[in-house]
Amino acid sequence: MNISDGASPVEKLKAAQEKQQVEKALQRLLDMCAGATGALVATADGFVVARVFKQEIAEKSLAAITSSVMSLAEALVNETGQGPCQNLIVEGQEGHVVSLRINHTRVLTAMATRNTRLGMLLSAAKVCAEQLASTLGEK
Amino acid sequence: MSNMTEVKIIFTGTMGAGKTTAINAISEIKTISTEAVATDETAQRKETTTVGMDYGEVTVDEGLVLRLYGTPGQRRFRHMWEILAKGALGFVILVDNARPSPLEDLSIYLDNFKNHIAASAAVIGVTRTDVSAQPDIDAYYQYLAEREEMHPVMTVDVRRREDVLMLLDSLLLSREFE
Ligand SMILES: Nc1nc2c(ncn2[C@@H]2O[C@H](COP(=O)(O)OP(=O)(O)O)[C@@H](O)[C@H]2O)c(=O)[nH]1
Ligand SMILES: [Mg+2]
Repeated sequence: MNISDGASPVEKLKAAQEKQQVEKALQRLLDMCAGATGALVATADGFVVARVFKQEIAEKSLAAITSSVMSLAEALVNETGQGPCQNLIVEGQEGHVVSLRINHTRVLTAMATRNTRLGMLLSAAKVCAEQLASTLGEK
Repeated sequence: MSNMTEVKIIFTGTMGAGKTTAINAISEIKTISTEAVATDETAQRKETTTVGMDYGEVTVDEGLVLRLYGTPGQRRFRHMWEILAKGALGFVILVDNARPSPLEDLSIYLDNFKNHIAASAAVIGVTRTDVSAQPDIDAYYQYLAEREEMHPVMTVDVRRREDVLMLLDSLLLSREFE
C-alpha cells in the first residue's frame, strides 16, 4: 500500500511530485554523509512517501515503524518534561538510525554504518529535514 | 503499594472501533497517546489515528490496577501489536459494527493474538451498534462457536465509562488473576 493508493488523479499527481522532491533531498543527504546507507520519508501515520537506499529494505515496515517510534519518542520527552522532541537517535551494534519530524505529517528516518560519526548523520538529516520542511510546507 | 497487583490489558480492534476513546473514558491518570494525522481511509472517519500506543490506568478493586494499552488498528502496525501483547493478561477486542464485515474484522485480531489469548482471556465489545444493529450478538456467538472459541460478547458505547468498566469486569471474571 502506498499513500497514492485509492487517491484521485490530482492527489496522485501531487504524491508523484512530492516523491520526486523527497527523493532528491534524500539523495543529497546520502551525498552529504558518506557513511549513510539509506533514508526514507514516511507519513506521520506510517506510509512510504519516498526512499533512497543502498541496499534492499522492507520499506513499508520501515515507514510504519518510523511513525510508531517517532510518536513514542515524542510521548517520552513530553512525559518527562523535556519536550518538544527534536530528534530520535538509536545506536545499534551495526550502525546508527536517526529520525526527525519534517512537519506535522512527515517524518524522516536515516541510517549509517557504525563507523560513521553520529554527528555527521544527524546534521545531514537535519539539513535534509529543514529543506524538506520549506519545500513541502507545514501541512 | 505492596498489596497492589498490576495487570496488563490490551485494547485492540479495527481503526475507529473506539480503543482510544475507551481508554480515555476510564483512565484515572492522564492518558498517553500517540495520535498522528491520518492520510489513509481513516481520514474519512476521523482526523487522527493511533500509530504507537495508548496508555492509561484504572483501579478496579482495591489492590488491582489495570494497565490499559491500546494498539493501533491497522495491519501495517503489526509490529506494535507484537510488542504490546507481551505479558498481557487480557484482551479487549473492539469491533465496529458499522463497518462492512465486522465478523471478518474480529477474525483478524482473534487470529493475530491467538496464542496470547489462549494463554490469557478475551472479551469482545461490539461498538457503534446505534449506527448498525447487525450483526447482532447471536451472530457473534455463533461465529465464535464455529471457531470453537468462547469469549464474552457485549454491545458497548465506549464513550460511557460504565460500559467500558463492564467489559473489563467480564474479562476479569473469565480469568482468575491472582
Ligand atoms: N455513533 C457512535 N460513535 C461511537 C461509539 N463509540 C465510539 N464512537 C466514536 O467512534 C470514534 C472512535 O475513535 P477512536 O477511539 O479514535 O478509535 P480507535 O481507532 O479504535 O482508537 C470516536 O469518534 C467515538 O466518539 C458508539 O457507540 N456510537
Ligand atoms: Mg486509537
